[in-house]
Amino acid sequence: MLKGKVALVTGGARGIGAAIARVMAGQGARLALLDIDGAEAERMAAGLPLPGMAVACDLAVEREVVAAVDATVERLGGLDVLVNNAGLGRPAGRGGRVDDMSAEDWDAQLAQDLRTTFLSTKAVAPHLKARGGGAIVNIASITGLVGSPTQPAQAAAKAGMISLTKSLALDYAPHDVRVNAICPGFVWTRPWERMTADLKRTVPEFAQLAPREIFLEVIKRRVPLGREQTLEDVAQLAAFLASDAARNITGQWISVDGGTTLRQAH
Amino acid sequence: MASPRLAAYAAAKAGVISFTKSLALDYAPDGIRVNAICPGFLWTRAWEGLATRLKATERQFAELEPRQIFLEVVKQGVPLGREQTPEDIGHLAAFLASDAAMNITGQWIAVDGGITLR
Repeated sequence: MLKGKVALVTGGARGIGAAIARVMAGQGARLALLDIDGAEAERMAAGLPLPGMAVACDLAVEREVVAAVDATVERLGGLDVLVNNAGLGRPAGRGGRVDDMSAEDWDAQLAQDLRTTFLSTKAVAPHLKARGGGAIVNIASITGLVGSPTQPAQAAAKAGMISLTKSLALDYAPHDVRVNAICPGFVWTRPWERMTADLKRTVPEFAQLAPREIFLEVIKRRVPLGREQTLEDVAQLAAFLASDAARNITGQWISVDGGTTLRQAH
Repeated sequence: MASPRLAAYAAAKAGVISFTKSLALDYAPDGIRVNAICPGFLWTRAWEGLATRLKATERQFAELEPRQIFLEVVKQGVPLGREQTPEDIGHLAAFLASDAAMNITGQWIAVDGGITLR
């Protein structure tokens, strides 16, 4: 479905970003993986069904992002797809609740998700427009749709990504650049490993469980479909949204959460 | 969206979206997923009828054929600037029905070229 297309994935070395790269390459796209961990991104790119390229890049630093995008365009001849996936997905610094959070931590968290999305989009958009069209897929989170007392900054940043998705969809529509967001639910990635470690410390009934067991217990209680969401789930939707099969879908945000957010008012 | 001249139609479609979410929760324990697609401007018989009515009631459309009226509405109303097609809807329906969407349920997705963003 993506034959002949060139896709750039931020945070592509592991987790959701790497899964998106695998699925997109499997559908015929050539990939560029931007990640702060250049060595791991390099390994990942070399092992793709259609081997891709990797660039080591701090996605919060504008000149690094611009240089990485330029290097990609020079080597692959242009860009059709941008996946904004980078972000640590956890409270920066001491993080946590508003009362415990420093202003610096607040800024850092918003920078992780929102600033990186802004910078990558700004650097890539001219190249998509130059091709006469393209697609941007933003990886947000269901925390951007509901409240999160323990991760308010991350929730605000993800809600901001969803809002930015809608604004960019209108802004870029005349150039036939589509912009959509995916809100993953419970996917077993490093942020969840850290979160369950916190739950183990703070919730007495979880004290005897391993992080992975805590994760599965949370899923049993919270997810209507009763199972965890996978990297593959998110990657399949990202590939669909990036493809021409979605040529008239723009400005949408779609949850991959097994129905989790249906239970909460929003 | 509100539709001043199609109030009952709009209410019914809103009901379908709400129904989708309720059914998604109801059927989740049985492993049945329920999603909704909200098509935008497709050249169907419903639109032929609407364009014919617009021709009769809107002075700016009086001289145009129904199909031309439709394309004019598309130009004015769709950010991506083109009509949506049955094929568009088919692709999304097939995706949602497939195992690639095995953890997507209770969603409503517009295939409207950005119309409802405005």
